[in-house]
Amino acid sequence: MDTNTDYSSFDESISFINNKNYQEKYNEALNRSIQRKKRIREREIKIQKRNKALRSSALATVIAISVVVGTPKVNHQILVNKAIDYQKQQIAMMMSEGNQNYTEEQMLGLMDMLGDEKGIEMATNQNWQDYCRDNGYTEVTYVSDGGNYSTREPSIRVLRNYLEEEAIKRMKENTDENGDFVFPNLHDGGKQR
Amino acid sequence: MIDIETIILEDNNEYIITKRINDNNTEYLLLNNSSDPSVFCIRKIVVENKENYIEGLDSKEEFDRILNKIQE
Repeated sequence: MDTNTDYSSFDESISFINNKNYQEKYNEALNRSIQRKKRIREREIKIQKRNKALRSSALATVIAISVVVGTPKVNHQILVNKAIDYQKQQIAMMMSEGNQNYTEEQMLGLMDMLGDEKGIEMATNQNWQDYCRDNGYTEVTYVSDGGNYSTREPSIRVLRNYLEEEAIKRMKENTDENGDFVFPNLHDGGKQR
Repeated sequence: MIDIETIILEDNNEYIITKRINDNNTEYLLLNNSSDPSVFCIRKIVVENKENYIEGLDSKEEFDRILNKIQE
């Protein structure tokens, strides 16, 4: 796995799943950007500690809007591939940083990229556990310690596979008769339409 | 966890500085709402009396140009 990837230039696909109406978001962003009522001094910028996944998903959303606005028709297979690559990069990055376990926050970040607002529930729900069992991942362990959820290393592979398959499934189900990707409406808690 | 720059805009919402972009010798900021990252805007840094200010863009064309540059 390539862990030297530039994370600032990735994927438009994941955020397709997150947005119900990109044109509306584009218009809102345009209006906010042209807002000139008040100048703000640059020194009012504050430095805070934040989850890396949040920043990544935010950038992905903007890239998605940019791509869609500029390119009406998008090859969905390219998006699928990028989604998979990005998920692999995220996991590789976490592993390269020495994380042996996923924290709840990390899992939430990953799951958010699939548009599931109930990320940790999705990661721990019966579907995922069934997936692990059906694919022979019997070594999966799941630890809940005072609300801090974690899985052992083998589960990272399982989770990655699950994410990949879920991304492909969602992408394919959002393709019209011409093979073009159409914007999904997943504002029902991240479930497929 | 990483260091992230944030700023509160005129709508009193906190925005994360997700990316900085240089275009025609001007620095632009991609800002995402920290509560809802899909809410975003683009601002630019202007210098006036040796002070840096964050200011809105001038036109849709400027917005589109920087938005496209973000994905490069």
